[in-house]
Amino acid sequence: MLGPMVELQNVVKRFGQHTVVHDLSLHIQKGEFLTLLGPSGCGKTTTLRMIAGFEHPTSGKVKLDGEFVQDLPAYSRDVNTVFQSYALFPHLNAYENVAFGLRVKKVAREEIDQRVKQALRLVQLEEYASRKPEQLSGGQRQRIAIARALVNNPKVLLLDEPLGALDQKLRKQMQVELKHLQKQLGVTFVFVTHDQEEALTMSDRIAVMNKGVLEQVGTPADIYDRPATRFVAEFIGETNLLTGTVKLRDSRRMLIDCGGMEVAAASLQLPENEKVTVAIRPEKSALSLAPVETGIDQLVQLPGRLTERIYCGGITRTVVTLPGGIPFVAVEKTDQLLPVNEGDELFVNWQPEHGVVLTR
Amino acid sequence: MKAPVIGSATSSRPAATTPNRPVRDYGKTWTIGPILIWMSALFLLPLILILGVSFFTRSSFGGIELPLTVENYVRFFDPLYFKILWISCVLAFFTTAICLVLGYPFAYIVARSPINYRNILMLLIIVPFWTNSLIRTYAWIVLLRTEGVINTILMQLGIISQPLPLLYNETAVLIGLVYTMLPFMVLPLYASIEKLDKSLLEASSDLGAKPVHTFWKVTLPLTAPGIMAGSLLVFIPSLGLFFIPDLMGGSKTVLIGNLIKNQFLTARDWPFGSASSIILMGLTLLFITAYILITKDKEGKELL
Repeated sequence: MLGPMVELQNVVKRFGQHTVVHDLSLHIQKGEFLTLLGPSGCGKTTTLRMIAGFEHPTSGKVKLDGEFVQDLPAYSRDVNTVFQSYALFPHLNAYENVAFGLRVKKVAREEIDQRVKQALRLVQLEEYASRKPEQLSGGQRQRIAIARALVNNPKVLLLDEPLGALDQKLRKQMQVELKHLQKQLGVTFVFVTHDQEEALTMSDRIAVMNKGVLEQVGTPADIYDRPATRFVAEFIGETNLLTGTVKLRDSRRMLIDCGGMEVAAASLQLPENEKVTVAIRPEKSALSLAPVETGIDQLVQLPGRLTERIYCGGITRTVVTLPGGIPFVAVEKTDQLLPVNEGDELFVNWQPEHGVVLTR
Repeated sequence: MKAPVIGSATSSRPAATTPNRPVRDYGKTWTIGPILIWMSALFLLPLILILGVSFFTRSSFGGIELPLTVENYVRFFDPLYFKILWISCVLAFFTTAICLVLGYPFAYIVARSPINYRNILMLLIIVPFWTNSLIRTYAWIVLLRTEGVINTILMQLGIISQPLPLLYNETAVLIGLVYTMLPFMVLPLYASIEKLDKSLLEASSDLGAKPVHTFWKVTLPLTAPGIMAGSLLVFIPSLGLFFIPDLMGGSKTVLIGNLIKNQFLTARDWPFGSASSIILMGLTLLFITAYILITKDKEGKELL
C-alpha cells in the first residue's frame, strides 16, 4: 500500500492545564529516517510516545500504515521503541531480552532461536548472548536494546534519544552504525534528539519542534539553508540575525532597513514596512579590508570593527561588531587571515540570495 | 558494516591498594564496638542462657538443677509436639499466603499512586501500630464474639438468625495473625514495587505483552526479593506469636509459641521451654538459610 507509514493528524496533547503538543500534523514515509528535533520540553518525546502508544492524544488522530491507532494500547501496535535508558530487563540475559517480544507472540521455538541469533549478529553481540544487562557496557546495552526492538520486524522503529548516555566518540560511531542499519533494513526510523548535529548527519528529513509546535519539516539541507522561522535558523547551526523592515521591493530584489544598514535580499511577496529578520550563515559571508567595487544588488556590504577571533583549528571564527553594536560572526581560513587587529575597521559582505528572509 | 569493539564487557576491578597498611584502623573499632556490646548484652547473653538452661533438669519446685541432659530435646520429638509444630507451620504458611494476596495489590496501588498520596496511604497502614497490639486484638474480640458487633449487626438486619461462631477457632486465629502481620508484608513489597523502573513495564508493553503478561514476566520476577523478604518477615513471627492464639483461639488452638510460653509460665519447666525455643530458632535459621540460597540476589539481602 502506498501512502505514509505514520500519519499524525491535528494531534493535541494536554497534561492537565499544560498543552505539550499543539495541533501537530506530520507524515512519515515508508523507509524514511525522520528526526524529531528540538530543545528539551518541546514535545518531541511526547509525540514519539503517542506513536508508540504510551500516551494517547487529547485530540487528533494517529495513523499507522493506513490504520487509525490512536486508541490502541502500545502492545497492539506494530512499532517498537529503543528507550533512552535502554530499559533492558535486568532479570533476563541479553538473549532472553531480545527473545522477549517473540516469546510474547508465541513464535515457534526454532524460529525464535534463529531470529534472536540473527538480531544479535546484526548488532555484533553474538558472544554476549548469556550476559546479564549489568555485565554489559553502555554501548553494548544500547545494541541489545536495538536488537530487542528490531527482532520483531516492526513497521516503525522509534528511538528516544538513544545515544544520549554515550560518550562523544561512541556516539559518533553509533550514529554511523544506526544510519547504516536503517539503510540496510529499510525500516522506517523515527528518531528523537535535541542534538542538531546528530539530526543533520543521520536524517532523511528533520521535523523541528519548539514549545509543542512543529516549526519546519524538511531535508537537512532545507532546514539548514532555508530555515522557515527564526527559531529554526537559530537552533540549527550558527547564524547571524539582522532585524529590520522592508523598504523597497521589485520583482527580483528587496531592500531591508536594519537600523540604518541597508541589506538586499531576494524578493518575497511582502508589503512595505513589514518587519522581517535576515539570517546569514557565517560560512556564507566574507570579510574584506575595503568595500568591494560592485552594485548594492550584487553584494551586501556592511562596515564593522573586529571584536574577537576564536581559533577553531582549520578555521577561525571572527566576530565583527556592526553599527548599532550588533555582533556578526564570519568564518576565515586560519591560514588566510586578513591582516587586521582587534578594533580595526573592515567590511562584511555576502550575496543577497544567501540572506534568508524570515517573517516569524 | 564494520565490526567495532566497544570496550571489554568484563568489569575490571581497580588494583588492590597497598596490602600492608601501616596505620591501624581505629575507626573500625570505634564504630563496631558499641554494636558489639549491644548485641552481646541483649542478644548473645540471653541466647547462651537459654541454650544453657535447655540442658539442665527441671527441679521439683520449677527451678533448674543438675545433671546435664539432652532429655529435653528428646522429649520434643514426641508426636504430640510434632503435631503442634506442624499446625503452627501450616497456620504461619496460611498467614503468609493471605498477607501476600492482600498485601501485594495494596502495595502495588500505593507504589503507583501519585507521590503525595503515597505517604498518606502508607501512614494508614502504620498508624494502627502506634496502639498496643494486645489492645488491637481485644478490639477484634469485640467485633467477632457471639454478642459482638458483627453478629449483632447481622442479626439486626435479619441476615442470620443465630450468631455465627466467629471467635475461638482457627479461623479467628488466622484473622488475628493476618491483621497483625500484614504491615510486615506490605512494607518490603512497597519498597520493591516502588523501585521498579516504569520504563521496563513500558518496554514490555512495547514488545507486545498485555498487562497480565507484563505482570507475570516482568513485575513479579523483579519484585521477588520484596515478596521473599515480606514472606519471611511474616512467617517467622507468626510461628512464635502466642497471645493471638491465646486470646482469639480460646484454649483449643495450641501453637508452638503457646507451648513455649506455657512451659515457662504455667508448667514452670524452664529446661523444656528452652529446648523448644532452641528448636524453633533452629527451624527459623533453616528458613532464612533457604531464603538466602534462593535469592542469591543483592537486592534480597538488602531488604532483609
